[in-house]
Amino acid sequence: MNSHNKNEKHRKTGLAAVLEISNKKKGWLILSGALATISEILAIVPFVIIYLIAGNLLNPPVDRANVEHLLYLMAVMFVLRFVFLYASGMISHVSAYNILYTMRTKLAERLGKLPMGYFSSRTTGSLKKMLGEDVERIELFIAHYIPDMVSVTIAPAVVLIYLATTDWMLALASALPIPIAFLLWMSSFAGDKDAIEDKLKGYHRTQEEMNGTIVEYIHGMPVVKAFNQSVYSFDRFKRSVDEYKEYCIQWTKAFKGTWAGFTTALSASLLFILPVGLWKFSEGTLGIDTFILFLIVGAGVVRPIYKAATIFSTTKLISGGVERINSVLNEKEIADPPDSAVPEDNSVEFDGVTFSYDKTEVLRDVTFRAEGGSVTALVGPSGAGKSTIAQLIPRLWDTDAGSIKIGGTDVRNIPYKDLMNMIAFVFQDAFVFSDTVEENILMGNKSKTRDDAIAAAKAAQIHETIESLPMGYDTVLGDGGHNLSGGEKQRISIARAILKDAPIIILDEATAFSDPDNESRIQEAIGGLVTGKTVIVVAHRLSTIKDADQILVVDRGQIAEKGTHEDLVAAGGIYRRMWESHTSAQEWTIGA
Amino acid sequence: MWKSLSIVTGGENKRMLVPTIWAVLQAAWKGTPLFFVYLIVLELFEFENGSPLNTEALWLYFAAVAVMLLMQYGINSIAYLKQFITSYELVAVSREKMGEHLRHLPMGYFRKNDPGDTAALMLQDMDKVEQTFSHLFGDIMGAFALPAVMTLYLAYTDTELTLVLLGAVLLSIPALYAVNRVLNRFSERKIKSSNKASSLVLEYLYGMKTLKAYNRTGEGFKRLDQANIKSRRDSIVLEAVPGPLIGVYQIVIELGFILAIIIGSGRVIDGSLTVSAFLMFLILGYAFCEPLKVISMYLAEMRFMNVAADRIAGVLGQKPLPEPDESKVPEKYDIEFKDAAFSYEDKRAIDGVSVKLPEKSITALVGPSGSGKTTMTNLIARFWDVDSGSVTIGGIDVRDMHTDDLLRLVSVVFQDVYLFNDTIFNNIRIGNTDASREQIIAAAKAAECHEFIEALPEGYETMVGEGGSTLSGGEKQRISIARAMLKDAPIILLDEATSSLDPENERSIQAAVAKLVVSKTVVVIAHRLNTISSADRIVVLDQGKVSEVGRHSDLLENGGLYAKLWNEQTSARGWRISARSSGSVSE
Repeated sequence: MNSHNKNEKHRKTGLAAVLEISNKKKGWLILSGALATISEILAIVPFVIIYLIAGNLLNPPVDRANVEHLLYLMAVMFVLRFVFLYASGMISHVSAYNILYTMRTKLAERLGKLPMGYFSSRTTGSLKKMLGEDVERIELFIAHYIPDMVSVTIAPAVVLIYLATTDWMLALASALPIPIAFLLWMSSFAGDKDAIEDKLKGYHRTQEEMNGTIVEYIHGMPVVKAFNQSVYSFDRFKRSVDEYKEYCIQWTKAFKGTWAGFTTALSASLLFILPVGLWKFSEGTLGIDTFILFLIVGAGVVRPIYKAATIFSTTKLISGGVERINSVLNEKEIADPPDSAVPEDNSVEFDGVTFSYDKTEVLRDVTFRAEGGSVTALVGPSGAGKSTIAQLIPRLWDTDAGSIKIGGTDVRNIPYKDLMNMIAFVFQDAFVFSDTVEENILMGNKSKTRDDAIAAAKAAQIHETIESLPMGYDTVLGDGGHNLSGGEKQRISIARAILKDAPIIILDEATAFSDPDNESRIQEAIGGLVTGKTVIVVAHRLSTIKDADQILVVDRGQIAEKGTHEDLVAAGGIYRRMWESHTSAQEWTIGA
Repeated sequence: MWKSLSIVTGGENKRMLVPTIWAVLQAAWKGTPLFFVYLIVLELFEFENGSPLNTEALWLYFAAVAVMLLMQYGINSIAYLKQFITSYELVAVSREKMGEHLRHLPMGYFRKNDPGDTAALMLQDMDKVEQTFSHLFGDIMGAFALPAVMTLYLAYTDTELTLVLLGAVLLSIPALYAVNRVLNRFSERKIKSSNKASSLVLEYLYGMKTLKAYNRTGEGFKRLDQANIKSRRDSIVLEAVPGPLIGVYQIVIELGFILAIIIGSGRVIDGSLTVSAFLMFLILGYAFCEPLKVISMYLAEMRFMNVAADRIAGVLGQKPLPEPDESKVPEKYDIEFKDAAFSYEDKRAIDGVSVKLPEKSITALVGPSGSGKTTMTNLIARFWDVDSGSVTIGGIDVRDMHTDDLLRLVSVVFQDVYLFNDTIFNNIRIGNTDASREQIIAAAKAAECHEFIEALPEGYETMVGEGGSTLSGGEKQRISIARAMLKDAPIILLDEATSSLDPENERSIQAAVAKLVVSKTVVVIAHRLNTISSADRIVVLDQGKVSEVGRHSDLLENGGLYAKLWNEQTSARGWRISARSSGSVSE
């Protein structure tokens, strides 16, 4: 087993990480391994009993009581063996699923504390996979591999020691397949390292390629079909599947000798026991009963080690997932300030703010002040940084340089919860949870009642729609529930914000959904939301923000112009050009 | 297992025949050394009974054991190759079949199902099936084959005792059956609860921004915690409940073995059975029981494959749209809905729609959200088939055309643009793979794409990421218009973007659309009424029915739904946010 030190060390790092994540369940896992070992040793007992019965029958007169006694013992052993196995399995599974649960809870908690930037650089699918499959796979490791590893190594050792007490030479002969099997196993890796490395790389590359192609094949199918290109894209798909298959087959062929050698070696104990036994028997130094014991027990003792090979080859799968989980848990969360400060008023101020996503600079030296109770509009081309400015205020990200202050206090010095309580945010993509309408509006606010939810819904122009739903405010929305249109969802999210009654309101393209029947109602809803608040609004349709107290024109990450509508139109800069495009776009018609 | 197998192989179970034979041979061969061990033991007893030691015979038997093991090596290699290669080949065939099947499914399938689930099916689920066959298959075959061979040996040593053992096996079958039932039931429950938990994880992630804004992350999102607790409980139950049943199954077999020993030892004492034969029976009997006991464990492992196979079968069971034997190709491109009705599952989308969309003219579909606008365009392109009534192009029912022929006539400009992980050039070329480079650039120019493409680091050869994440929404839309330009189909289905773009992007798109629709039959889903006020024909939909048809001015005069929508929208456009007016409706 020495040859596997490297692997074993790797596994331990993985396991240590898992255990650290999931508190101390070590004691239970050791108990589970111990029970599995006992059960594995008990599996040998019937052979020993057969050996004892044989000894009895071979030396007449037969002691019937003794034989009966042994048989009772055997029956008890069978039952005990199963009881130990079951207990071991249950302990390992219960601790495994508890670990999984703790891990998922911790991951969910941690994800909730990470800045939004973390989510924009990852696909939701990969995070879902981590919380789902990567965590689930650890079950296999904890519940199966740990007890298996223990029993597979300790049980043969114990049996071999027992055998050695009867005849050490034969015991040695019985154990000989172990080093041979592992030498064979190692030799396949020791051979031409580069060639193996190449094959392995090719395998991983083709697998990744196939995964990518399949994902794209399915995601792009609507386009592919609409353009009648499914044969072409199917060819690509087929090629990647075939290529992966070819690599798998090559890999299999390369491993043929090793695998067959390994499995054959582990069942080849007789090859060593027989000559030693026959020689000792003819010399008269070995009794027939001991010889038979070795022919039966010694020949099978190393077989469980077969499992070890499978365990080693699958631990790699788990370590990848554990690494991903660790990286999330080690991700820096948004830190709360050591001393909390309380803002003096509801003004919002940017002072020399610079910010980058990854390495692309999005905002440079942005400075402006929005007075408490005033309306500030952010306009400009797509990608100019308007939404980023809006999203920095509630610390969905933190700035790289400069500061953002609310009422004179840096947002980083306001406890995160307090900050969130000060700000109501209406996003472009309103999100509705698979919960009741009421819960969707209250959002867990225990101090508010159904009446408050209804009042907010009325102000948000969604009350009538809710009343027309099958269960009114108790209707479950979202997946598997009632589906609302985009505009209706938007109004639900406005009702939420109205109920929250925060002094600062941020509207990030809240009027994006533009079905005619919805648009005017969404806008009325917003009217109910913004009265008397500090409002920061990101808008494309310039007519909506014409009357704002202050319009900031954002261009390539900087504030290019600042002023009221009249000032900016008169200035004849970017805003004026945008205003002209806007009015002409409004007048444009298809087929005119 | 055979059912799952034929789902995966698509009925080509025959291909598993050769690997099965080798797996059985491999397992059975493991028993051969025992035969020679038996002969050796017999010799040893002869010697104990006073005969001289037949050394020659003993070494001969030893040589036979060595030869058997050498052959075992050969058999193992072949069996290994056959099993693994066949599983890889079958899974590749299976993936390709699935891919081929998907390509013929109605577009509706892709609109209704999460593409992530379908991809998981072709990746992880297929992998699970493959692993079951490559890794577990041999073991399972062995678990049946080895006891079968053992039965022959056993019968050779003593018939009566063998019958006792077989009797126990027979008795254990009901327990095995119960294990299977219980496993299926509880694993279904576990899968359900873990699916529920993973859909809540998705909800948690998608709603993260909102949850953060309302201080509801972590413990605040109770439903995820509840789902995780339930999933933990169901997982533990799945392990706990079948366990005792497996125990009963195994113990019944073992008690049979002990009973045989009791009977056997009695017969040894009264002399009707030789010690050597009895001893052999004990050894072989145990080798007979062990693999049978393990079968119950394999059942537990097999269930994962069964679940995967069920899911695969679910997709393969989806029916492709029926294709006509002979495709009719229209010569004119006017579109007509005749009393068309369609429902998504049980939700009626359109009902009794009869309307004509004249050739080479622009027809706008307007109406509140959910009124059936998108459904109508989906029915023209035959993403779905009507439940009743018909849709015709140039007088020919769309169902009488080959899908390929139909789709050649129609260009769809979607709201959600999908870009392939390929160059921009190839992404446009998908509109017409025969197009020359000049044609592609001309299309890009017409779609107002050329300028921004040229400004990219590698121009047309720039790779766009999976899903086209590196381009802005407006740029993606223009790429999709360029595709449609290149395709140059006589019918254009256009879904106007609902999300707002900055004015300049919006104007570019408008200019591109204006060039695309020249002298085509155009169906446009309009969200902003002023865009289509000069359309040749406006069809106003309300709750899946046509409520009005006419030109803008006629409809305004009618004072119906259209007039109401128009008034709402013009008032919305006059609306503005300001602290002073506190968001009142003006104009």
